[in-house]
Amino acid sequence: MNGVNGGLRQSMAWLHTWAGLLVGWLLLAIFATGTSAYFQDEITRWMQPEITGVRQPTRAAEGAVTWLTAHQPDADSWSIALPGQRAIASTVYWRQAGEDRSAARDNTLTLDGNGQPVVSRPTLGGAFLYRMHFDLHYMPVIWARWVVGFCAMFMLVAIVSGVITHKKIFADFFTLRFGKGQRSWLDAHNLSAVLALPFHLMITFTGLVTLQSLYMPWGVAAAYPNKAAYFADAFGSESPPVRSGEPAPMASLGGMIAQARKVWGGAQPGFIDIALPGDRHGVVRLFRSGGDAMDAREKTLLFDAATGHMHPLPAAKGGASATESTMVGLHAGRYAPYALRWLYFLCSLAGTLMVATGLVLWTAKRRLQLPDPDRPHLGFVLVERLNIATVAGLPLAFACHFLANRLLPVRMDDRATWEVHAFFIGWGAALLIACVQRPRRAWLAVLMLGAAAFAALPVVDELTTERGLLPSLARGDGVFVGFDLTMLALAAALGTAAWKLYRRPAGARRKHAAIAAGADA
Amino acid sequence: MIALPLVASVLGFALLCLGMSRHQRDLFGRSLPAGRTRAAKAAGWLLVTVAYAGSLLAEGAALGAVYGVGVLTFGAAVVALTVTGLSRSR
Repeated sequence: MNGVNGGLRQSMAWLHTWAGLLVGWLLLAIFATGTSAYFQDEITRWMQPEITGVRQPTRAAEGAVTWLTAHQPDADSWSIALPGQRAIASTVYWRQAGEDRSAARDNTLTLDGNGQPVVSRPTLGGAFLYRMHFDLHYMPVIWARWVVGFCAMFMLVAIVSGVITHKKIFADFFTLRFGKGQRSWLDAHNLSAVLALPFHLMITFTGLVTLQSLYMPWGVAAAYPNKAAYFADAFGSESPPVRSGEPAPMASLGGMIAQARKVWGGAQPGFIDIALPGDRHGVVRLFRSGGDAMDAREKTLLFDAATGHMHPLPAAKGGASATESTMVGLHAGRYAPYALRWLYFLCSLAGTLMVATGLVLWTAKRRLQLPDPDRPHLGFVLVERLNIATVAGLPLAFACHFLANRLLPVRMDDRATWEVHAFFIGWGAALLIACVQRPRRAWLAVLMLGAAAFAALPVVDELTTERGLLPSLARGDGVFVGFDLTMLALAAALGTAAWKLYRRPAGARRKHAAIAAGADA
Repeated sequence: MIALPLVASVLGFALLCLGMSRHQRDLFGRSLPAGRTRAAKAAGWLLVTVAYAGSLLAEGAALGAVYGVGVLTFGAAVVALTVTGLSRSR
C-alpha cells in the first residue's frame, strides 16, 4: 500500500513540477495583473487625477444625453459606459451612419460624476491591467485567451497534483522557517498555497468558466444552427430598429433607469446603448451593472426611446446559465464590498506569491544537485534568468506603467499607448539585466530598481499633481491615500528582499550545497 | 459585522496552532500536557466553526459563504505569520 502511495506521490510531484514550471512565468503575470484588477476602479481614479467628485450614475447618464443631443444629434447610435461601483467618470461613444464599431475609439468623451465633459490625461487606467489579465498584449485577443486558458488548465493540474504531493498539509499548516535555503522556499510555497487553497481552486476553475464557450464550443454548435441564434437566445437580442425619418424627442432616460432598477432589485445600469437617437423608432438598451449582484452576466432591458415604454421582459435564464453567471461573478468579485474586496486581494496576492515561490523553489532545489555550481546547464540558466526577469521584473513593469502615467506629457500623441509600452519597457529592461549580469547581481539590481520606482511614485504624485499623499490625507481621500501607501508597501517589500539578498554572503549557497553534498555522502 | 468572525477565526487558528506539539516547542520550549493540548484543539475547532457560521449569519448565505472562506484564510495567515515571528525572536 505504501509503495503504491509513494509511486502516486512521486508521479504527482513530477506532474506538479513540470506543469507549474512550463506556464509559471506567464501565470505569474496573469496572477499579478488579476490581483491588481480587484482595484481596477481605484487605479483608474488614480490615473485620472483631474477627475474629482462623486459617482452619480443616473445624473451622469442624463448629462451624457444632454451633451449628445446638443453635439451629436444625427449619430446612428450613442453609448454611455457608466462608472463602475467605485469609479466616478463615465465615457460616451457615438457612431455616425456608415461608420463601423471601431470608429467609437475616436468618437469618445469623458464625463465627470455630474455628466459634465471633463478634460483628463488620455489613459486606459486600470483597464489595461484588467485586460492584460486575460487578453495579454501585442497579440490578437483570441490567441491570447487560448494561451491564458492553457495556463489556467495547467494551473488546475498543478493545484490538484500539488495537494496530492504535499505530504504534511496539516502538520505543516502554520510552518514557515526562515534562513534554511530550499526548505524556506518550500515552506513559503506551501503556506501561500494551502492557506488560500479554496480561493486558488475557485479562481482557477471559475477563470476557465468565464471563457468556456470559447474553449468548449461544441455545446453551442450542437444546439444552435449558428452563433447568431445562440446569442439571440442567450442575450435576447432583437433585430436592430429601422429609421422612420420622423423625429421624436427622447423620453426621460432617468425614468427608464428607475423602471429598470425596479426590475433588477435596485441594481444600477452599467452600460446604455441608444440606437437611432432622436428618431421615432429609436431604442434604448440598458445593461445591468456587474457590480450590484453576484451573478455577473449582463441582463438587458429594452425601451422605446420616444415613449419610454419597456419592451416585454426577456425569458428567465435556466439553471445552468445562472450558475455560469454566478461563477463569473465570483471570479471577478465586482459585487464585493470593501472588506471582502481586501480579502479577495490578500488571497490573490497569496496566489501570486505561490507562483513566484514555486518558480524560485525549482532553482533552489536543483542548485544543490548541480555538478558544478559555477557552470550550470542550459536549462537551469534559462529558468534562473527567466525567474529574475519575471519575479523581480514584473513589479518593476507595474511601477514603470504608473510612473509613465504621471511623467509623460499630458498632451502627448498616443499617450495612453505609451503608458502601456512603459510597462513592457520596464519588463524588457529586467529581462536584459537578467541576461547580461550574474544572477545574484541581476536579482539585486532588478529588485532595487523596482523598490526605487515604487518609492518614487508617491513623490512624483506629490510633485506633478495636487492630489499627492499629504493633501489627499488632509482631504480624507481614501483612494489616493490607499494607492500611494500601497506603492510604499510594495517598495518596502522589494527593498527588504534586496536587503536580505545583499546581506547574505555570496558563498552561502555553495556552503549550503557543500553541507548537503556531505550529508548525502 | 464581519469583524467578529475575523476575530473568532484568528483566535480559533491560534488555539489550533497551540494544540500542535511542534509549535508548543517553538513557543514555550517544551510540549504542553495532553489535557491542555486536547482542550486547545477542541476550542480551536469550535471557534473556527463559529467564524464560518458567524460569516453566514452576518452577511447572509450567498455573500457569507464567500466571506467565510476569506475569513478563514485571513485567520490562518495571521497566525502563521505571527508564530513565525515569535519563534524567530525566541
